[in-house]
Amino acid sequence: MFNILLGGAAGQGVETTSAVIEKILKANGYNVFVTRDLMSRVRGGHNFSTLRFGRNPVIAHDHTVDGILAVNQETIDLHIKDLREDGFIIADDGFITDDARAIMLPMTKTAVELGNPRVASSVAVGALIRLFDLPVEALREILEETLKPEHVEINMEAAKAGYESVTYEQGESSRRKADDTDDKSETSQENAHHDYSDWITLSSSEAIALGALAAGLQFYSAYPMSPSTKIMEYLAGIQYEANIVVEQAEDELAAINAVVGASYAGAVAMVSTSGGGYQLMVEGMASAGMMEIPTVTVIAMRPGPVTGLPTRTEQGDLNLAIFAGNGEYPKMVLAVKNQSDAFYQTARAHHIAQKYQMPVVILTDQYLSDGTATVEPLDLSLIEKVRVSASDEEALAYRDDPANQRGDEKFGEMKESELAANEYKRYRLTEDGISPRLLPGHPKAFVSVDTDSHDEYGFINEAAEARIAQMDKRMRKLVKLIAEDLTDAEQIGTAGSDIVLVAWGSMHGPLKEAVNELAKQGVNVSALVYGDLWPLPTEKIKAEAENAAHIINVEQNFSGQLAGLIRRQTGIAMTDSVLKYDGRPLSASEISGAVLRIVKKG
Amino acid sequence: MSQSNVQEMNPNKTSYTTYNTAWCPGCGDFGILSSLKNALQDLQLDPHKIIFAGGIGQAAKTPQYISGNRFCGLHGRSIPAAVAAKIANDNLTVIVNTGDGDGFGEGGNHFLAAVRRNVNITHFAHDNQVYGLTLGQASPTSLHGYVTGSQPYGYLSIPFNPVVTALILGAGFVARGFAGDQEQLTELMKAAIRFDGYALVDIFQPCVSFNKVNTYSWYQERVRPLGEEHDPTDFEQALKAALTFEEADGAGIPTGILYNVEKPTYWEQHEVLQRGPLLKQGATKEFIQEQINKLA
Ligand SMILES: Cc1ncc(C[n+]2csc(CCOP(=O)(O)OP(=O)(O)O)c2C)c(N)n1
Ligand code: SF4
Ligand SMILES: [Mg+2]
Repeated sequence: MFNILLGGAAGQGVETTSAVIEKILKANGYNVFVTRDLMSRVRGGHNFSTLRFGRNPVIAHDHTVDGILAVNQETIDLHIKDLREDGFIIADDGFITDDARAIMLPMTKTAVELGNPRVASSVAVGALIRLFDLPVEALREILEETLKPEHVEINMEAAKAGYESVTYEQGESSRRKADDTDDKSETSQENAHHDYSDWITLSSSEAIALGALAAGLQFYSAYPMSPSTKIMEYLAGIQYEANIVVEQAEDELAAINAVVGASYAGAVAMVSTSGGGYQLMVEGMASAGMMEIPTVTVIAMRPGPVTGLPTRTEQGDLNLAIFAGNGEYPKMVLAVKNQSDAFYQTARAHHIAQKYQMPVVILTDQYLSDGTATVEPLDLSLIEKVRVSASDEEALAYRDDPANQRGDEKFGEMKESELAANEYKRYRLTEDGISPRLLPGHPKAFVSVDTDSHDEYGFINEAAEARIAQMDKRMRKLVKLIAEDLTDAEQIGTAGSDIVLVAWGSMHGPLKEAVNELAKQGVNVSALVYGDLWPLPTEKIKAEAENAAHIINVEQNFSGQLAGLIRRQTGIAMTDSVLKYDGRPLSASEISGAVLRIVKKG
Repeated sequence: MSQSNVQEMNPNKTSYTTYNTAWCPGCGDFGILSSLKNALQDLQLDPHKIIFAGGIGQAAKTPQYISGNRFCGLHGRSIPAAVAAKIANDNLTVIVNTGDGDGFGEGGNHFLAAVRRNVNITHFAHDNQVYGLTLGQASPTSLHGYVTGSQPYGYLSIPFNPVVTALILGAGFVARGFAGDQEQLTELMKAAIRFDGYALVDIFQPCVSFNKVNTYSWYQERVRPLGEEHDPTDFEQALKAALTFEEADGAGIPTGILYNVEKPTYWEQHEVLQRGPLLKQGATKEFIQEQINKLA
């Protein structure tokens, strides 16, 4: 496995170059995991990508690197401390460094000679192709896919110059390292594949969009906010062929309320935002809970509070997702663990939202939204489209039974009328709390929903009996959800160890790698990684905690929000924490290092 | 072709039942409700194919008192929900009743966006120039100097003019009505519902309990139904009428259809909607598979 860092100023094409390198590595059969560390600005500053690749699935980034491609001076200055002893630096010969590992190339000079200083990074790409013996013929095709037609030739020229400026021999040790399969990446048998050129490159942004489409998405609304915007842009770009409507809302309040309105009318609907935007959606979410309208809301987390670090990563919105909203209403909150999980979980979220007629929140973060992984092609055969309304027979049979008609209703206020029979019990009291749902437009039923406390028909009703009956009914849905649809945390490592790590969502990859790393050093740990977070599954943590000497939460936030949740729901307290909140992703080696320190302390 | 907010006519005579209301006796909302029922009956619309959307407020309770599908959502947020419901199923007629606070205060940004988005919904604003449900504070349309419990020294802001705002944002149908003139109001409502695109009727609605300034007689003395000479396709005439909001002894306040010119609707411009109701659509498996393959 090999780890390359590519850095430059915003506007220098680092993102594009990173995508080109990722593609050509994958074309050579490598599995690639990319993180993007961006500054919240359009020009200048310092941006970088890390591209970690190898012959086994790479499931996490690493902050220690084997190679640096420096498109600006800062890349050398800031990252040389993270370069392994046997690593290399490819940099412009105009930059300043006396490091013996540096290979100085006339990047800018070549680019200027070719007529466009912005192609300097392609010189580095060419050098990389030589060093790793990558399929140079694939480059033209990749550039054609990635760039405007008029830029292809000049970038080819720049790459050619870079290719000529290094030798095959210079790459000897790097190639060996990249191709080494006996490393700490994921090596389970089922994944022993070694040629990933036919796998796909996926971010959680695309995965969420595709998962929603697979479940039958029809309406999508959002207000731009990093790092969630890519979902909207992806869906907007294909809306005419996908037969969906994507509408950029005037604000987050409009976005969530539009999704609630569209879903009320019968469309499968989704909205996405970041934590800051979700704050504005809180009332709309509660309305979906109260009116019992299926909705799926994606929060792509970035460090808060408020504007925070707009382009970086954090897991700071778990409390927000679970607890925000006035009063009490049923909802489900789940976090995606990696890019392909994001696809399957989004489809699942839509099914749960429809089945329980309630809001479901999906948490992802910048790490997974901007970052990409090489994953097995998504399996559409595993996903069915959702069923939006209850069968007519079921709902209408009930409506037509005179015993259930509103004229006879204790709480009813309506005068007798010929249309009374069309008042249907949208909020019929049922054992499992789920009321058979018809859609507006039904020839025999009026479908009424209300954010006021209401009776079974959806009419405002302030009576205590109606209030209690409806509140109990709504909350009963969670009992069924827990029994039928909740998935407990994924257990990694050695169950029953006396060291137990707990984490959630995107910490899955780094933690899994950390568990392998620790095992190699003879430290067996058990790790629980939560996907479903609300309602919180509690069986596994109770079992694991029983004999544990150390229970350690590993989270990307300041206060340990999962730890707080576990304590609230089970009474189990963590003995130690590994927390990071600088907006930079926690890596496997940071986790294993921290765990070893904690264990040593005793 | 474009799609109006009117669904196919209902061959059977439709009845829009009476429900008990929670409004104060004498409230202007009654005049609006009965005009609405008359308009719908005249248009022979099937209540099963209508969504009545409301937020929170006295006006916003209107859906509760009429036969049809009812979406009683959040204060200020009924417009985005109504717009999206119409996008989801354009076989349905979508009517929103907002208050002046609901529609222009809390939901002000949504009002602006709805005009510009031009989705085919009908917006009836019950403009009582006060917050009724919360017992009488100033609303965006309250008159300058208006005294209330929360503005004891008088309202300091410039009053919001909904019809002017709608016009300058490019609304195609803008009308002003009065709850005390049901005959005119019924006709305005019919034209608004029939209109292709977002249609606004701002309706003066006396709040007998909390607005002791803008009473029935206050409006009665001022409203001046526009005559034959008004050309509702002339923007300048429309704007002039909209800006006219004067004392009884002056030009008064013109009511009627101020402006009526169809513009490209959201529906007309969005290819997917023209293929049929959105709730019958979505991506095919083959299409999704193609997108997955593209990521290879
Ligand atoms: C988010 C939120 N803020 C405040 C309220 C309280 N509230 C209910 S109705 C209303 C104003 C009603 O005024 P208007 O919209 O003019 O309707 P009217 O009652 O006058 O018809 C307010 C402030 C609320 N329900 N929700
Ligand atoms: S408070 Fe005013 S607006 Fe509300 S019902 Fe009474 S009179 Fe009508
Ligand atoms: Mg009002």
